[in-house]
Amino acid sequence: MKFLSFPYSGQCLVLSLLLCLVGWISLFSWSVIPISPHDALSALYAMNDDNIAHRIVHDLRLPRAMIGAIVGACLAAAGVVMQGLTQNPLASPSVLGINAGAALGMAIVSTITPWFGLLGTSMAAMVGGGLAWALVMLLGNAWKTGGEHGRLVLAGVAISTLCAALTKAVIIIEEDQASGVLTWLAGSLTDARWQTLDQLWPIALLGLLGTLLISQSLNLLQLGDDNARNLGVSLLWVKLGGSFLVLLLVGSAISAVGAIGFVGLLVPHMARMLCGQDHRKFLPIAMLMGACLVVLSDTISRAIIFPMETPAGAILALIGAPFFIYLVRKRTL
Amino acid sequence: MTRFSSYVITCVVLLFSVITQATTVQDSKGTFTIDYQPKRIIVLEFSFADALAAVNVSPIGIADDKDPTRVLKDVRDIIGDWTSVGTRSQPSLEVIASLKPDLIIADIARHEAVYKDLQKIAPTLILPSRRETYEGSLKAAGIIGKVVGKDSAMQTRLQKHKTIMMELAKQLPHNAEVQFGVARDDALFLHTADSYAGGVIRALGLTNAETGRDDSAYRQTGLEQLVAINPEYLLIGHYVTPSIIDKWQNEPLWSVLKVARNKHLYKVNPNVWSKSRGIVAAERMGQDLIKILNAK
Repeated sequence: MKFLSFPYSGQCLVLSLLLCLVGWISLFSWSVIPISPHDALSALYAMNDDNIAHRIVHDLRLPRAMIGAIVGACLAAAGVVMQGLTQNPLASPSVLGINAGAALGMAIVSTITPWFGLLGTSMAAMVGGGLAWALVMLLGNAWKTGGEHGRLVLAGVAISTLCAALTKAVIIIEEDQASGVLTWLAGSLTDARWQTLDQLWPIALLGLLGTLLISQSLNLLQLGDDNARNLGVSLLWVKLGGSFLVLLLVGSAISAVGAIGFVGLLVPHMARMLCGQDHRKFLPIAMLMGACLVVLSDTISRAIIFPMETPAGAILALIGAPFFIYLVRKRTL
Repeated sequence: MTRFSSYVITCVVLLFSVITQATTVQDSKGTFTIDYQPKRIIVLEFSFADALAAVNVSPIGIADDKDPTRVLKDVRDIIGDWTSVGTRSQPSLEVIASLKPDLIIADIARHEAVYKDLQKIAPTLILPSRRETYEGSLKAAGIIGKVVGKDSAMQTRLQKHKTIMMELAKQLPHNAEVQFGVARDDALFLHTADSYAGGVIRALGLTNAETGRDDSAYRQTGLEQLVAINPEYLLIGHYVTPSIIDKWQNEPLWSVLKVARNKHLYKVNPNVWSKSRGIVAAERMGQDLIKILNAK
């Protein structure tokens, strides 16, 4: 593992180059209309409106790759912050019920109460996810110092299951409108367009910058709540602010592409393996890795039953689950 | 010995006479036998209601998704009133039992899990409907005809249907490429050559668009794949408005499609084209196609 011994700036550079490469490959690979690698590049700087290949790259694939990268970065950063705040290596949006809560919020808005849809499904996802997380934190005693790690995860699993059961009930009651929820639950970048990107990037950027700002406090939290307080960290504000950032990141990401799991759980551990425990260092690395992972999964999702698509969320689970087991076996958790 | 053999012969003759009174057909679970003419029939799919209407039999209950308008008007006019037994995916066993049916017709794709429960209520004929082909749907109608004791009427109706479809085909341009799909809020499902709609399109002398791998009746399709399939005519049943097709039409890539250039995108009623899958529905689809393809 020569890569592990690279200096920090070298690691960042290599990962950025990898992201560009993966993004470029995703622009031309597995297309029903033949697109050459050169087309993929020329569509970026010399777009020809009459060329179908250029149109596909420009209108569909470029926003898709960019959204994939942003979503990956957001979910990875959210995972880092959640693990830092709760001091729990298993904390992530999918384990602690945010995904399930967001799904329930969307399901309720898009089926039972269409008039409530004025709020928009992304708002519903955020409200649902926020409520679910608040419940998990309360049940799991995460606000108190010295709370058990297992209790938080159990609370997350319980709330996730409850939300999933209610979502299923909603789907059964309103079968017609439910397929949208199902597509969303699987998590797919198929319908990622420029409009989606326009809605996504301002919030995502705000959230990502915010996490970089609190990374210093997250470092101090590692020393334990008492020590952190003695070192001048306002626990309440860090925890509230961190939670808000997580909601911002997860809410914007999953309302854009659906419930994509595993990124928030895996990537922080991968990043930690690479560059240690300093949040200021491994947070940017985690963002880059998350971006690469989601773009790569999206590319693979097109290949599996080409020319049809499988949801990228399913691919991530496929990559993520074995890797997660490997991590547990290696006792890096 | 002669006495014994005469007993045996008598028994065999008696048994035979009982068997001849009973109707035996093959359904999706094996052999189905019924020895009376059912009067109180409940159907759990629209295609079965369509088949009953074809021989003037009225079901007492339909799993109509609690929306009577989903049953085609032509079918409604024939069968009159019925009691809703809930949705097709989750029919209410309690309501079904309270109606005291003497025959239930269920769909193997949707109701296999509750087959045993349905059998406890009444004899249950289970046939394919969802994801079934056009030919399979006509075959199921033939079986229903036998079971409700209207075999000859059903055969006559099926023959008439064949003639009607041939006459409709004569009025349509030969070999025009037609693709049907249903559009939801965030997904487009194309009905491929293996679907009911695909079969009706072929039966009318038209061709299906090439949708690639032939392994499922309904295929979720993104804009990129739609550009590759690029059908000559695209007929869409909108389950919601605005649907994903309305969104796609505002995208620049939409304009490269043949249907966009030639203005060959049409709205059709998804209850007729997707949900019904019956004899009457196929004829309505033919009339729709004549209106669409002959409107120059």
